[in-house]
Amino acid sequence: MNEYLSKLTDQFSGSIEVLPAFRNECSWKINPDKFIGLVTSLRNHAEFPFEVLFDVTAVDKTPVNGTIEVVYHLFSHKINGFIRLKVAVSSETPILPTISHIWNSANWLEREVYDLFGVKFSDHPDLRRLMMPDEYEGFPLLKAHPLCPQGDCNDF
Amino acid sequence: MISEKIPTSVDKFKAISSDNISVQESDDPGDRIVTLNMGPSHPATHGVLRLVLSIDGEVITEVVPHIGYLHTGMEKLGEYMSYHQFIPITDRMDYLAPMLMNLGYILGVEKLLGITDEIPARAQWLRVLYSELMRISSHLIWLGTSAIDLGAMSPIFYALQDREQIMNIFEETCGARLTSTYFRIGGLREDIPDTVIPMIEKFLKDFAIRLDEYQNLVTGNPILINRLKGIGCLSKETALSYCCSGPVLRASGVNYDVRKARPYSGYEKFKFNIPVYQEGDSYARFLVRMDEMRESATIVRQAIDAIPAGPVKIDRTDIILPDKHRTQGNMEELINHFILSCRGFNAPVGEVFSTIESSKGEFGVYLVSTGGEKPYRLRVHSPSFLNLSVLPAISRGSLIADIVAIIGSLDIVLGEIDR
Amino acid sequence: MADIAKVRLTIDGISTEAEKGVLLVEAARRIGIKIPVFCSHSKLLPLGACRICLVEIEKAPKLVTACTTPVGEGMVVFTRSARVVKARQGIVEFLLANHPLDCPICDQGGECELQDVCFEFGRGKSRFEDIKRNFDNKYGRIKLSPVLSWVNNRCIHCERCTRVCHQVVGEDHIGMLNRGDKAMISTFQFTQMTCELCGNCAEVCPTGTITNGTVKYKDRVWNLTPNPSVCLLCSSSCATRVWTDLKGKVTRVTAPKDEQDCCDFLCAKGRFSFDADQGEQRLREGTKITSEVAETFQQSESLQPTVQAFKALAKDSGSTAVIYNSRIANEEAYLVGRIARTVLKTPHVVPLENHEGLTSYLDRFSGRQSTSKDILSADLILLVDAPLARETPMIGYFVTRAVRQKGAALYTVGPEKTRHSSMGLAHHWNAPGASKDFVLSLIEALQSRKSDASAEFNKIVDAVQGSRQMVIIAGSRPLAEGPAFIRAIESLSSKVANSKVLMVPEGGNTLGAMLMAGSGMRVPGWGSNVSQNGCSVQEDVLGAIEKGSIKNVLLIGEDLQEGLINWPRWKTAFAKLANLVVFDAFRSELTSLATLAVPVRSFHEFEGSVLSALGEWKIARGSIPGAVGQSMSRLLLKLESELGGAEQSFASVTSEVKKLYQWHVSRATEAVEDKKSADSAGKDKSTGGNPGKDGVFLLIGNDLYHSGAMTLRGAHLGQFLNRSLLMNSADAEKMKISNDARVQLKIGSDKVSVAVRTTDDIMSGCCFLALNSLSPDERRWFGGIGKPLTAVIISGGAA
Repeated sequence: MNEYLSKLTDQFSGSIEVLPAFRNECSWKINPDKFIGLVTSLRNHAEFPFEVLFDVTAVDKTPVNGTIEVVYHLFSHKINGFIRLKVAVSSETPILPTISHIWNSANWLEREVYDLFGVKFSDHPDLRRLMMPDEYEGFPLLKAHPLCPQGDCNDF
Repeated sequence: MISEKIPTSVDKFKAISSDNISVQESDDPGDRIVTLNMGPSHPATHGVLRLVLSIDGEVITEVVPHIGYLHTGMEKLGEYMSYHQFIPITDRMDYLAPMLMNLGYILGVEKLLGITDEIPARAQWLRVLYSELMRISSHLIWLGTSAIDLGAMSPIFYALQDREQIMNIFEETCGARLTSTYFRIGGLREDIPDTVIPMIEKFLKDFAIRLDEYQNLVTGNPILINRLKGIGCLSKETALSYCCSGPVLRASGVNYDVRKARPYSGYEKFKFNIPVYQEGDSYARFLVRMDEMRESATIVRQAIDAIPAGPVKIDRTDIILPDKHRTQGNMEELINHFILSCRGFNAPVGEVFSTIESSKGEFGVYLVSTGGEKPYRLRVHSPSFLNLSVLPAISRGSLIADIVAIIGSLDIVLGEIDR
Repeated sequence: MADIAKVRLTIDGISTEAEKGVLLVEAARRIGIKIPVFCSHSKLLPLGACRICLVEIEKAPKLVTACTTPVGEGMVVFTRSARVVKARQGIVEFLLANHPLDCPICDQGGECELQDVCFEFGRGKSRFEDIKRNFDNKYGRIKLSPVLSWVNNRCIHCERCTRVCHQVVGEDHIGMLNRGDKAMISTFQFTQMTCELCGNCAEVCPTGTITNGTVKYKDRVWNLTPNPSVCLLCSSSCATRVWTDLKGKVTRVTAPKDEQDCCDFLCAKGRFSFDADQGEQRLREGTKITSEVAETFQQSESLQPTVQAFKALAKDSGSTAVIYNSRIANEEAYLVGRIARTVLKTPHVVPLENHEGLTSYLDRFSGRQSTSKDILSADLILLVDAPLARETPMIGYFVTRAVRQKGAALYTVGPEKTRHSSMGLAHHWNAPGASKDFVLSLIEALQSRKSDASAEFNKIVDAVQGSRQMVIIAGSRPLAEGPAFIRAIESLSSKVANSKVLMVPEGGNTLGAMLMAGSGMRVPGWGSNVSQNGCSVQEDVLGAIEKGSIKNVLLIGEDLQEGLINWPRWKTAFAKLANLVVFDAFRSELTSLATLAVPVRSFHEFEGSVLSALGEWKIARGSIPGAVGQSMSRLLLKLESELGGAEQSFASVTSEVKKLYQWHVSRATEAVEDKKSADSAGKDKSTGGNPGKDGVFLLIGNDLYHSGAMTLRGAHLGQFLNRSLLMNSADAEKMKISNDARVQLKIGSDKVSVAVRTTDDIMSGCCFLALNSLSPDERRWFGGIGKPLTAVIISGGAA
């Protein structure tokens, strides 16, 4: 792994769980309570500020352990590398605080995660569906959601 | 014979619009806001994009983009298909630069499998060659359509004509003009035919002349300059905060191109520059793309001058399909072909995130694998998605005509945004 | 039993322990390490022929086969070392050298073990340049079975099929001919294969040499979805996988693989009856006859008409009869019994297939009958008139394995020599209906031998006296002798140490259905306000209808008309009824006569639990997409709540049913203490007649691919039906009847014309005719399951 990323990992080792570096990538698992504090300090880091929130997505791990894992990828131009942050929320009540006040890209990315996975982001300025029609019921990218429509096609 | 007249809509309107409606000027600015719907079926929105504009006269006070009209559930589909089967789906994302989409996805899978270093040199070189041709093609379409949105009728014909040459090159290589699916996990589908190199040479010769003409069009045209200069200014901080990438980011002064920052597929062996402009307005974005076309042509020139010899497929028949003539006559190859086609290879457990520089920006793929032939989660990060999200911020206060210019300069593709 | 010693060893650096005697392949599988195998199979004795499972053991000079090597203390095993990888690549290369490039046309593609192993462990590049061996001569593509496809070119000589045939199926039909690269598997003199356990060789074949010919070229395995289910065609109640294609149509049925409690095998009935519940013969729409006019309705709309019909049935509680058959799940039977007693308040709850001894067997042996483990660990198995291969093949599978793999001694008793008799040590001829006498004489002989006993009988007595663990298995004919036989068997079992009893009734979920539906008379407080004097057999109901005391009948089950004895008489009787409500999956004259016919799910589609003859509780999930409507249990639950019962969920019914079974098991355990009834065994009269004396005995049975009409409903099973009358060759010679001649059978006042096949496998004075070779009209004098009839054979002349 990038030496800067190793430095950062050591710096934050108290509040994160470092996941194995598969293919030399830096992955951290974070508790939902420590989440906002950590990302803010990453954003405002003196040496390696993470100016870019590159991606917010989720992985539905409900069949595995009953959680939805929200995955953030942060990028720092100084390091020229990505950090992956994973926050697990329970599938029954998936709520996380929004970070759209820290990075603007989170606005649409969190909307997309809400739309496709049902994860609610509290205090989001405009949490509406993005890809799916507004009146759609269900969250398509969850594992429990079927791939093909069920039932008579004339019912749609 | 119809005995009584059936009222038409005009009649109905006349019936209600007699003297009951009076029009008067209001001083309350709130009363003056008109909501105008632009799209989804609109020639200037570059795809099925719906913009709900709140306008006060001609000035835009708010833009709310509505996307999702082209959403086809590609990420969900990815969980039900083997890694190999998903390659044609990536073609349909950014359909103006399919080979770049293929490359971005394939590099991600190769990283997951850990075979990035085993891809033969010839395959990597040809990947670069075709990626750059694809970039030129994508920028040509952008040029033509953006120009025609601004009222310049002629450039599109020339741009499409040049693009036609590139399409013909692709057709000669892999049989498809648009949705190429030429790259494979582990190399290319097959080697290029001999007829392709002369075609590329001819294209480069013609394109050199044309490039100067396009440059003149953009830099030497006062109408275009007036339409674009100072419009849709995007500051560096806003660009970084909104995670804009590609020409949009480079026009705002950030010197960042994945091909230089984290070279992939042998880009480190090529000499090229990254155009960066500081103004951040639509004109700067236009200039960036013009310069990029020039740089891409340089890369293509370097590429065809020194293509290394060798195989174009990795030496692992349990990942890539064996050659057809071997499959039809040999048992092991037949079995491998069968299993790869009907099931796919088993990926190791793990997750990767891999990005490339696509014509629209930084295109990334995030793969989560729990073993097995299908990915557990296939996330595609599209640059146009975030480039579009910056639209409300940079178009408040501009005119309706400017919105068209801004969208054109952002160069978005709805296939990539909606997936 | 003492605990088996455990052994510690290391496989690929992982330390593990296994019991002594466990093979390396199994020990590795338990910790998730996959060693490729071809000839090794968990249910077959190890062979070590294919050599693909070679592994390296530290300090051993050569690589050893993991499938034949048991674990040893302190063994250090490497399954991925360089030597092993190279060896595997070599074996794969040799196996593929002569293998034809058939993958595109081979049905096994996609589920082919050879493909999977070669993909994972092979070199990936072929070096073979020569001409491959080809059996495409008259021997290579000979059709050896009506339902299996054989392509000898693809064989890799793992010999799984020959071993399955010998050790599991017991047929000894397949063997290896020739040697070297000309070696090919075939049958002796290329005779046709007509095994009761047909299809198991296809199931174990790792390549596409032997495949299921009925689904040849129909679909690829990745388009098919496996639905776990249970077969309801006999009381073995095997777990199955019912494969449906993309349109939801049932395409094939296979056995589950690699699961702990499952067989890995099926019989021909279970496997080839997949088309029996398709097509026009299925009842898909309900019919309601009101004032001579028939209206049809869908099952989803069937609730209201059914509620009305049931209300009519409930009006006069003493004059309604409920008849159910054995092809329903436990939950369905339980709900039928409950509705009958609490809603309809009728004492007449009658099973269609009545085995007279069944109630007493269930009372005394529930939960303590022999299990499959008991059969496999027995050293003596006694089959008392139990044609297992014909009636319940998969129980016969356990017996075959015990004999062929574990060396158990087998003795058969009865009027016919079954397939198992050929692997038994002796067969004792015993008249049909006289099984109880045999058991009683056996008990006597254990005390003091009689001088006039036959040699075989004495052998049996010796074996019983010397046995360490004995299992006595009896079929449906002894069961028909009534509670007397059960008492006799119980008495015998109590006198022989460490012995287990197994009765194998005919039909599907016979035990479960009877236990659950018939429980009302036993469970304290349940239906206690209902009179106890109800009809117990279908003949009683028929008589009551003719007399006029029963005016309404509810028939519930599957394929009901087949189970009604003497259909023409029933037909006339039904015409007298006010209400005839039928729940059936198949169309028949009965459903067209019914005042209300409700379509239900068939034996592939049902949802519920099944109790097998071996006491196993198996669950079918009912997840077939093309199933007709909802499952019967859910329909009955809705019905109950509409008729005033409490609302209940299906899940709670399943747990109630399980509890009810436990209650029966505990009752049976208590009954064991009650010695009084066991001692009264000897006082019952003999029910057996004298074959040959009072006319020639006729044993009617369900032949081979049986279950009555099931053979005729399925196009594939029907090819195996034997319609001849099996006659003893000595009798035939005496009566001057030659093989294949046509004779007339006179039963009562009726005559039927049949062809004859002479054999030594049947007792003199007896003959056998398959029930499903007769038309429903001809079958009317059939007395009931297991009850032998008297008939006279008139030789000569066509009908």
